[in-house]
Amino acid sequence: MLKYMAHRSLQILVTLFLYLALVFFLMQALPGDITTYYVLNPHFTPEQQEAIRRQLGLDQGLLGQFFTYLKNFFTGNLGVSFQERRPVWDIILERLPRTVVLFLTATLLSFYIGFLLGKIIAWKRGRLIEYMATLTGITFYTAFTPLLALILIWVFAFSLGWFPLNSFVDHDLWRQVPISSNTVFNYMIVNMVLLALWLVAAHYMMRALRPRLRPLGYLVALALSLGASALWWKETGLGYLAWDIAWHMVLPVLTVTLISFGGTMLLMRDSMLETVREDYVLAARAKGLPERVVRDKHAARTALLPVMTSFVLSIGFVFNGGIITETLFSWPGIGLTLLTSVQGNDYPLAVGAFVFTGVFALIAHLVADILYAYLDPRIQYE
Amino acid sequence: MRRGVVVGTVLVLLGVLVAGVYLIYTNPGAPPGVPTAEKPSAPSKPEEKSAANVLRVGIFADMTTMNIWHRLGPQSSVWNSYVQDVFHATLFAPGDQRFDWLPSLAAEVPTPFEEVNVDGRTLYVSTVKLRKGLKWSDGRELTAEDVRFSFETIQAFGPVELGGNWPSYINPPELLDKIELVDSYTLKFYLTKRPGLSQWNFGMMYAPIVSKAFWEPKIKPILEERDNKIRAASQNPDEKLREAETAKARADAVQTLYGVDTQGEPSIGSFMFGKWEKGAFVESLANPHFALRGEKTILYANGAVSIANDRLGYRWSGYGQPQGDVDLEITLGPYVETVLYSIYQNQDAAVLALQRGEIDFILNPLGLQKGFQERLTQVANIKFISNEPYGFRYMAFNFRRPPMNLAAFRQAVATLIDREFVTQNVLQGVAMPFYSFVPPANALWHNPDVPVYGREGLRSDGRPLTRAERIQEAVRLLKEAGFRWEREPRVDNPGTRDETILPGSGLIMPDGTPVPELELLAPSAGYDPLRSTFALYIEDWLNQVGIPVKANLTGFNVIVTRVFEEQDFDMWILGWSLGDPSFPDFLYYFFHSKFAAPGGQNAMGYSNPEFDRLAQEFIETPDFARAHEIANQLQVMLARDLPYVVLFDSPILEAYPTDRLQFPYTDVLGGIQYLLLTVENYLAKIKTMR
Repeated sequence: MLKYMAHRSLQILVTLFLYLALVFFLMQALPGDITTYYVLNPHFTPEQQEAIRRQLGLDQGLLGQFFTYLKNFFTGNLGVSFQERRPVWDIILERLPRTVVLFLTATLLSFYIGFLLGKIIAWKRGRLIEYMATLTGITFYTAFTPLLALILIWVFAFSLGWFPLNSFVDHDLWRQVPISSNTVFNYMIVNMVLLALWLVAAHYMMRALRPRLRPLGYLVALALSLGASALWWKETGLGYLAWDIAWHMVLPVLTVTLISFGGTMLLMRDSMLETVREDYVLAARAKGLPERVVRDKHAARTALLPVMTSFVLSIGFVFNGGIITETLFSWPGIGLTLLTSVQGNDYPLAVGAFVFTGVFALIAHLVADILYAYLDPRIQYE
Repeated sequence: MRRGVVVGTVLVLLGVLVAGVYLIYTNPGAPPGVPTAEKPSAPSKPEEKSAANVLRVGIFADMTTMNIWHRLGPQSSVWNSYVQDVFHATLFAPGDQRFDWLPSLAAEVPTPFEEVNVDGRTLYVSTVKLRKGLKWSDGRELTAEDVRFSFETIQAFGPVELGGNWPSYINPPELLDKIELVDSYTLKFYLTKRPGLSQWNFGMMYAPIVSKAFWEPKIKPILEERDNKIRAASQNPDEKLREAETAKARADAVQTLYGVDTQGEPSIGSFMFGKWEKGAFVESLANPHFALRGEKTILYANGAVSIANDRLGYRWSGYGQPQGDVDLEITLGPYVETVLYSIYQNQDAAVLALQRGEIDFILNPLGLQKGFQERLTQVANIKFISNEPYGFRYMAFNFRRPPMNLAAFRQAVATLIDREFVTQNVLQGVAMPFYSFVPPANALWHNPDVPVYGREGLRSDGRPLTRAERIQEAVRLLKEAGFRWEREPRVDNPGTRDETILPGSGLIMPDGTPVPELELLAPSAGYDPLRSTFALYIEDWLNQVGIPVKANLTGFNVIVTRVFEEQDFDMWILGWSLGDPSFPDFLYYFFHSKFAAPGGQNAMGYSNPEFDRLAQEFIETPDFARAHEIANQLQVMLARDLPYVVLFDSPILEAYPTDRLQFPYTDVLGGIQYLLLTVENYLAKIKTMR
């Protein structure tokens, strides 16, 4: 296993190098650079523009710029944004929490819904629920994201007025508090991590209970976790601000969830259909186990493997955000940063954002491989 | 089973550790990323600030900086300006509507320049007096020290090195020799030569003034560090290395200056900074010490202007006797206590917000798209305002390549372009044809009496040239210049129902070489459908007379790079927004041959010694009448030489709810939004009835 992990890590390093080169040279191939801003300013002379090019290091050769970039990347220096004159790291760390909170929530939700529905429709194959769920899932899965988002905004925010129209915070509320939304986003992430740790811990602790008491144990654990969360927000005094952010998340999360749950549902359904044909499922039924136990404990667990892989890979792309979703909902995260940096030829920021998201995607691949081995004991890596 | 409990316990402990560490090392009251060992002091739910008396404005991009040196430098975006221009003020500022040159922080017009001898050098000195009683938002008084410090800082870092707008405030850098303080409110500017209007009235006098008390402690160490580096570099025996190290030290100092945190910077304008929630909104608060609040400015029909400020006991008048009919009377506010700039990532969202009454106004340099007008007409009390733009969209030629270097060719092309047909018949009046290099909306500087190829028919008998007449005229111009065809274009039965155009082919230049395949670069329809439409028509019209041109509709950045950096092009179509209309110095920056090198604005390579001489005089003359006279001549020369064929522009459409907003006037060059950029304290003039 260790040998395999080392081998895969090495492969990933090579892939990372190729990825870095690809991103860098693609960015360089884009027309124009920062000086186009000055070209359009009638007050700049050619000498001044040349001085700016020198000032920004754009007068170096392409290869020179690339090697400087590689050196900087591996020493943790992603450079300074042309547009914002701040370290790229600062900008990424500023935008990341917003993207993580939004897309992690949406990813978890869409996978959970997809997993549940996929499990059910596979078990109830040929019934109305399968056709309905499949039709709904595929309709949303193939929907044009901007159109769906605009329809949701139009119906739920503009016409019905149930949800906020845009932005990620209530401007009237936030202009009255002396803290930045990033503080609250960070608290939300910590809260999510704690909840996840607690629920996993509870899962392991339930094993100490008799099977009959476990459902009650899970309920108590859930109540405790919600209570602890409430206490956490009371202690920080930021609960009402977190609630405001959560309220603004509803529509974007709904959009992402509607668009992506169908994929997970169909994957789970197909995987379940394969699994239910297995002999051990037949054996479980033959033993007289209840249908729910056979479905959840025997079939779904095995069928979950490809869904887990897909989930872990999706988690890697959570850090990428979504350009369309973030643009339409005025949610300034990593996706929007990518878009504006590329449009503005802000090479350091664009390359930094691409590389950052790429690194997480590569890590997700590695984790998925290892997780696969962990979850499925039949798989042996050499 | 036991293993499960152990794993569970470890995870719980890990969670407690994460929570503990996070709670101990963060403080909700502190800015993000600032660790503190204190117990978190959470903000209690605040008393609701009044939602009334708030002007809500939608914008489409976030601030990129709050640092004025950066903002007026490389980050001189319209979005930064919309929000932050009201935090700073200048000695003089363009007045409302007529753009009169009026004192702002200054008390009166500077004294005329006198020639003096200082240490054997001839210098030119003018005295500038400040108003008394002006206060920064921190309560301190504005003094001559602040003004001198502002100019000395620009000089210390170098206007060219600071970039953006800074070079225009001291142009050229060596123009300003020194500033002497006479007393706390009086300064003497010593210049190395007698300055032109562009250098003095619309240059130095338009420079923003910063607070010495705030900036000096921040700037001093930056300059000291830079000077130490330069001193160290001067020890280097290698001259080239020495120069490089010196240049780097200077550049690094500018970068450090751009990065200075401006938290707490006092404002001298009508508003001061409130809160910036990145990606969401910026809040500006009325400056409680704004001394111009309640100041009355009256514009008289006879051209005179008077300013009266009872609070400061200040009176000023100029441009004639302030008597007779009044054109406009402005009382400065602020009339709102807060301005909330909400950031939207797309126009759709902002228009929806305007429809729902969540915002009062949308700021956008291009105005509202026509499509949104229909949606907004359904909203009660919405008023639409259409204003003339201050810019133009144009087609330009590469003078370095034949046949574009031949005047007859350019004149023939201009003759063939039927602006009226495209703007009125094709674009249904969305755009309006332009002919002169200073747009007609800038009536002061616009010269309507310039030659317009292909439009002369309008002058003689009131009707535009027909297509057949345009072709015949273009053929005549080309023939006279020595062009010939393998098959000459012909118009059969002109002016009748049977009129037929037989396109020409095989156009040969006067030197006997065939005209090569030409390329017309233009923005794609996705970027600007108006320009792409024009490009396609121009391609067709030129092909009719045998000019082998192909329109290449491509990305904006591609055009900018090929034209301005690589100078690899035949013809192109783009547009300009021309900024402050007070002095059209773009006539110099766009067309003087000194800007024809790669990267310069004169990418055409236009070079006319007579034009250069006049343009140089235009930028340097202190005589307004002479500048005006030269501007007229320059426009005539450009219309004849045709480095550009000015094509069209479209009006700026804006909308606002009349039940919540009132403007003192709505006829504004470039749209209501441009009040923000051209008129100091624009927001102070908005009344809100929210």
